[in-house]
Amino acid sequence: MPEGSLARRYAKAFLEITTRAGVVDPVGKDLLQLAEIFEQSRELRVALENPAIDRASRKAVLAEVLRRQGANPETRRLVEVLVDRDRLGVLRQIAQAYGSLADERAGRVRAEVISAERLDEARLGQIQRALERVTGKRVVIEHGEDPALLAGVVSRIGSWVYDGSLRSQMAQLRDTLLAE
Amino acid sequence: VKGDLGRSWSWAAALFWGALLPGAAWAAGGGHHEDVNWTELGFAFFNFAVFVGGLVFLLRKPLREFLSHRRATLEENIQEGARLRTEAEAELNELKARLSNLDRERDEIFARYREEGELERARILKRAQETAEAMRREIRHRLEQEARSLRRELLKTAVDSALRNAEEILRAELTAQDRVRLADDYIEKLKTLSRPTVHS
Repeated sequence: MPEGSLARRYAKAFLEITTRAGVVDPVGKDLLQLAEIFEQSRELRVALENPAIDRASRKAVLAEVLRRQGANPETRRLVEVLVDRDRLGVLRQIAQAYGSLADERAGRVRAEVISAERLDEARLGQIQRALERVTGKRVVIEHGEDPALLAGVVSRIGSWVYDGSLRSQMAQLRDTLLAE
Repeated sequence: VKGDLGRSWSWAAALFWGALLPGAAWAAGGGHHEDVNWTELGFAFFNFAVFVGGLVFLLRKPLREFLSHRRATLEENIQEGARLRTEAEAELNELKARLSNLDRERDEIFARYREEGELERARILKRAQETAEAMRREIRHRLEQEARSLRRELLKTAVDSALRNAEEILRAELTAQDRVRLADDYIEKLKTLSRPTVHS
């Protein structure tokens, strides 16, 4: 079965559980954080995916990580299911699919807003409202910084991009000059 | 004809000996008498006449046939000779004519060769000119392409260099106020976007 389809099935099942428990967003956040830790720590990956280590030990390691992360108890239960079924390798895809499904169900979209330097909350709020007006949905802003942009802002929702960076303006200028 | 003639000659020989033997017998018997014996002379003439008559009788038909055949053969030979002579004369005339035309033919051949040579020279020259023209066109085309490519490369280098410089200047001189102003411009433009442009 393709990983995308598999991840979506797990994400859907997890979402049903977290919806009933009323912890949709905290679990989503926990899953993304755990996926991040999992990708960054090679030792953790080796320990949790090593079949030579018994499941009880692996679960104990995972429980400790989640405790330090301050994760929701529901998150621990769901991740233990992945350990039982040896599906920790697709944790990132599950977390992303879970986030998309949760957003879809809540009628919201995630917007990635990148600027050369960090924007203040007021401006992020203005961007959020402008994007909500454009999309007709509730927008959750995920703000990031990229000095390569020089100045200006780039907003991305799914495959849609609205690029107002100085970098892209210079690229457009280059294309125009070379096209002549 | 030859068989008939042979037989006739055999008969003639028999007649000859038949006619001569009585005369010989007479000469042997008393030929030395000086008085002419007219009876014997008449008998000899008679014998001779019989011999001649027999000869004429026997040789008439085969001789006529032989002579007729001989004449036909001779006529054929004469005709053949005449024909051969006519042919030889015609050939001789033709050779004479050719000999007399030899100079003219030689001149014609030379003229033809010269003409063909001129045509070939013209063809080669034309082909060489066409090839040279094609090469000139190809070289011009390549040079133009090369020049375009170089111009483009030069422009690209100049533009990239200018943009790098511009970027360095911007990095050095952009102030926090500039960045805020650019972010505000972006927000204002975002506010003017129409709804259907976004597909999440």
